[in-house]
Amino acid sequence: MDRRQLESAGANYPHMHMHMLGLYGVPAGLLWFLIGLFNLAKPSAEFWILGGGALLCLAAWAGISLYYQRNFGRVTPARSGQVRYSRAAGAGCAVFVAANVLGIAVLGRHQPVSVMAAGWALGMLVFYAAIAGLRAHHIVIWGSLLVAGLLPIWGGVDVDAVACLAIGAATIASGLFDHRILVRIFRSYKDLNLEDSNAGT
Amino acid sequence: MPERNEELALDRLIHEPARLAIMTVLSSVQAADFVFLQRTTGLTKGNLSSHLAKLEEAGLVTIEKRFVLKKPNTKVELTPEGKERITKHWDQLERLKSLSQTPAEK
Repeated sequence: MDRRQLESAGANYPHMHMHMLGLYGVPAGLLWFLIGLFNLAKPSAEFWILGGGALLCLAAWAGISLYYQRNFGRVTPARSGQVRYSRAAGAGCAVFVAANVLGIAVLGRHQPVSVMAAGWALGMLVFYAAIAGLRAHHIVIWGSLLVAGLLPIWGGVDVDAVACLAIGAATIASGLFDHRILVRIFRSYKDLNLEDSNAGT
Repeated sequence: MPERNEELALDRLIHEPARLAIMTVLSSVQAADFVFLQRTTGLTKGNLSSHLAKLEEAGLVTIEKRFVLKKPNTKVELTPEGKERITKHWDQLERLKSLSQTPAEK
């Protein structure tokens, strides 16, 4: 029996560790889309459209939460896991804010690059690296957004609104891959073949 | 007959593979519910229940039956003794493993 595999069952999954519960990335990504579309619309779309869309995302969030609880169970993470998650989220946010402030200070607001997209991508890379280590899809998805954000291709559009759309797409894609990994990890536990053990002894 | 080495003796209650799996998963979290333990160990409901009952009887886990969103939910947590015993057990296994890898004296 592999101790690490068993321990990872607990350490990898706690509900606080949202990075593994990738389906949450779908409503989160859709919310980014909604914000982007709302800001792109000229004249601005009605507020009720944004509000209604946000409520739909919230409902999807609740549904996904129920799905995870029913199919994967509930876990209260260990204190160390909670601290690690908070630190990783804090580091990701700090990197995003710092990159934005620095980018705007150095490049100014009206540049053909997207400081927001690049900063968010960098923040996500830091978050994933700190919480559980980067996986290939994190590097590809968020790395691509980081590079795209730094390329001078964002001229002539509402840069921040388009950046929201790109972040939304990356969030959904990354989430779906994370969920796929979670399903694979849980499938691998079946190979432990513990059913042969005797409960009576 | 060779003398039994108490220092290398394994905890029989925990050493049973399914219970070792349950205890190890629980040691890496604060608490987990029945569904999570079932998914991570691959045990059937009946078998998992039997193992949990045995662990509860030995004072190694606490089992709390409650309702979450009007659905019955069973929360399982290691007791301080359970935490101590599983840590000690894995240490013991590591010691045995290192002993087995040490070249035998001539």
